Amino acid sequence: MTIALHIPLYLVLAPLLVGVIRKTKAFLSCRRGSPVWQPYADLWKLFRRGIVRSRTASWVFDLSAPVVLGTSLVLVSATPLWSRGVPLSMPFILYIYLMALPRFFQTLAGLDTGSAFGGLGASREAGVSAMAEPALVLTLCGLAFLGNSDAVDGMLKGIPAGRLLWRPEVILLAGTLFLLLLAENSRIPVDDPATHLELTMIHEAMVLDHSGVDLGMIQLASALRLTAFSALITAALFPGSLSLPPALAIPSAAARIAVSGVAIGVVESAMARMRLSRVASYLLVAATIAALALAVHFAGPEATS
Amino acid sequence: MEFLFLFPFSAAVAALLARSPGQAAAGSILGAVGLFACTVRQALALPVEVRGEFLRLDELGAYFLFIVAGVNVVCSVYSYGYFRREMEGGHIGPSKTRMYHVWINLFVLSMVLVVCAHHLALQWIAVEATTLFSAPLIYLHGDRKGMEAAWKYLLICSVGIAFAFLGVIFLSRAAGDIPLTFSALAAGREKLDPRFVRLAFLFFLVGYGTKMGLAPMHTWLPDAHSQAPAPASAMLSGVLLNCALLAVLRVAPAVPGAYASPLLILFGIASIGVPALLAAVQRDLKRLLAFSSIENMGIIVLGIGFGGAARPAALLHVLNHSIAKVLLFLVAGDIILRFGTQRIQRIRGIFRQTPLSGFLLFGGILAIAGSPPFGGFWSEFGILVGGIAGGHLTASLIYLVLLAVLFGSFLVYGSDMAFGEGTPRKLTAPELWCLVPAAALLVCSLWLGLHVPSGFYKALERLSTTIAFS
Amino acid sequence: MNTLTVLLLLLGIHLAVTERIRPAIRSLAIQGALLSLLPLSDSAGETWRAATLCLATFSVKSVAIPVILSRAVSKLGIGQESEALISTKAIVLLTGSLALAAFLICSRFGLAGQELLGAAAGLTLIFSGLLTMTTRVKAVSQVIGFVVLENGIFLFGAASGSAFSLPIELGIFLDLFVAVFLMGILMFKIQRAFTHMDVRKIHTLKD
Repeated sequence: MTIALHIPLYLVLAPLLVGVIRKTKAFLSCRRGSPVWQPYADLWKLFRRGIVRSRTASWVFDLSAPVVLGTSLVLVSATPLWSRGVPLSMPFILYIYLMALPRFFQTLAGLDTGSAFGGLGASREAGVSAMAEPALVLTLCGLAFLGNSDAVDGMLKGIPAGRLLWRPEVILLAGTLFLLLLAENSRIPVDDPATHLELTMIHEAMVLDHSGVDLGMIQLASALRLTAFSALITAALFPGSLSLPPALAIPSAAARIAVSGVAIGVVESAMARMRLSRVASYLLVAATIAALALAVHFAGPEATS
Repeated sequence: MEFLFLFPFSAAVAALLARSPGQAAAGSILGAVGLFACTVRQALALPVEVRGEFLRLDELGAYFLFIVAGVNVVCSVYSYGYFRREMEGGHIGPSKTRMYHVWINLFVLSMVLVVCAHHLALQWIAVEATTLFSAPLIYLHGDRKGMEAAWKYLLICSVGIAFAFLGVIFLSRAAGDIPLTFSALAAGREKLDPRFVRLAFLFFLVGYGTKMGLAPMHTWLPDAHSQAPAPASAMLSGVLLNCALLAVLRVAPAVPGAYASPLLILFGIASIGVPALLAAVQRDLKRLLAFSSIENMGIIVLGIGFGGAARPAALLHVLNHSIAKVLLFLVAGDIILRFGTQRIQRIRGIFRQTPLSGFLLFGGILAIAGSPPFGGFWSEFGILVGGIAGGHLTASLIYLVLLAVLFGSFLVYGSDMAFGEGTPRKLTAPELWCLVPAAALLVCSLWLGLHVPSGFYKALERLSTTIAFS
Repeated sequence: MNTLTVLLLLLGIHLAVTERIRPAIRSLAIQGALLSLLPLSDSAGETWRAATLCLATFSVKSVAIPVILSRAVSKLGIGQESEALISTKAIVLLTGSLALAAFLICSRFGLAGQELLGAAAGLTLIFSGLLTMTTRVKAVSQVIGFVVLENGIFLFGAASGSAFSLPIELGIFLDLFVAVFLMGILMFKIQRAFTHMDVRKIHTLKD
């Protein structure tokens, strides 16, 4: 039963996360903003609309949105959110590839439409994710060493419990994951999801030509990936929350997702978008911190006491 | 022993309160003479005098202190006439001259502390203090070149001394429970952790070697010593480098010789090689002298590295170099003042125009190049003999070749300046306050070259056993 | 203690990488404050000594030196950019590699556990201080690099457990303070003489 609830829970919490982020940003800029459940309404609206499609696009374009949603669903079914058991126990290398697959199809779809902005967004997105790759691999390696397992659910299960302050490498890895969350999910300071200036977009420009059901699927998929990252971070920081009884676990999952939504919203409101040339340094710093976390971990088991 | 510190300190205070540069200079001279007298008295009261576990004046310290005090007397007498001339010429103001005396006496105070320090960390504090008190001397004139030189000096020497502190940390790690005084370290040398001792010595050599002017950490030396006023350059070259050397020598008994000797020989050869290459292209007189300081420090370090019979010769070279270098800087200061330029090409035919200065300059150049009949010859020769006897044949050969190259360069410069053809200039009269101390130093160098008292050499041999490696 | 060390390490990376001077000075102040907590965590000493050291470290490294530096920055009209001779990406990569090298070196020496962490963090700060001193263009950045170097040596010494008597430690702090003070004065004079702080252009003396 717990396994069956996994994906529906994600589907419910993902738009909530987007809503919380938007609400936080609105609150911090002294606006009332749209209600927290607005993303649900947006998705409902999009799923009932028809698709407007470029005549020069090929089957790749048609395929991309379902593939993106499908792989994101597989991804979230491997990420522990509210219990230690997950439908799919996946080695982290496969996890990383599953993150790359939707991006690959989105890039192709962006190029397929033949529009300039599609190509622009696609090339930028490809560049950012290529630079984020070392950081991502190092971080997940670090978590794997920490949790003594190479499966994503296993590594989170295996993180030693204890007071957070006394486990610096966990904080470092969680921090790096947060930096990567901002980079991979196109948040400020890497990409502004709310901008309307196409020349400054990365992700949004790439998906500019999707509409209707396709757009709905892609937006849902982005929200799912954002929720997956947040689940990883909060599970690493609070490993005990994965062992709660089911009655407490679901509210705790919702609470954790909400808190991470507020955190992302605060970070987005506090910073401005970086120049594109600075994104590489940002990601290199994330990789350096991840490497350092590994080094700190190998400094010896006594170091983490 | 407290008077050793009291004299320079009160001279600094007197200079601060003085109302004219003349008064400040008088205070300096009195303080210097007092310090010298005190040194002689302490030297007679040896072998050891202890104040707590931090301060201790032993024979080695007394030897170096004697050099510090003697050079201080000479330079303070010189600085009276020198700064009077500079003020007349409008190159410097009276308040800056007073500040010179303040800084120079504080500088001497810190050097006395270096020599008398018995605890590793206290010695470190004192060496850092010497850097801090000598930096204002370099940019005393307030011009651009002085700023640049002082900046490089402060930054590079501070980094070097920071590395030396790493050496102190390593040595304290190696020593464990043994207190960090030199006698305790020498006595407990078997109990020291060998890995950390070796690391510590490396960092000491690199760190204090930066202060000493060993290549490749020497880059600050030519700038700093050429931009400071002449008596300050003399003190920097003549005694400060010695104090940095002493800091390295004090740790020597705790370090295994097999590890230390190759390092010292390497740094020594490098420090002689770099000036050998660059001396030929120098255009500034004081810069040339600064490179000569680097070379001589390299020779001393090489001698310590060779060990055996070369060590007492190296210690003798410390004295010879100080005498000759201070002499040269003082004479150069006088010449630069009267010729109005530091460029070697424009200083020609000194002997014809002012025979005393020319004689002193040429004699000084011969002395620093290690030519007989001056003292430097015997100490450099002794190091060569020690090197061959110790089996370091390649190093000795390279040493000989480099010495020859430097000898040639200096001789060319010296004869060009003293006897060359040049446009005659209208020169001011020689300043006796400046030239008499220089002449006295030349006489000392000559005396050491003609006859080294055997008792003195025996004492040096005894001293060299105290700094022998373990 | 470990979290403290890791925070110091992170601050060191920030200092090495940042392209503006004021955030660098702020990080330096925070680093000084964290370093002053180190003597307190060494529970084996007497409380007086620990408290005095804590106070001395804080006042020198967290108050006095950042004040001198920020006064230099504001009074001299030095721009905020901290230009470097190599690109920021290269600096990030170099700092990361130096940090890993520091960990490797320290583990080779048989240190382990908390000591290894502290020593490696100290060594990283030393390396990054040297890197800042050699690759930055402004004279202020060179002083910042020097202070980072000293912080690294302090951390290294604290991790190796070397303890000196109180007067010696205070003497060491006094030395550091006077050194930075002198550098501050010299920066003023340089700015007045050269009207810029670009060390690439301060190169009149050469062979």
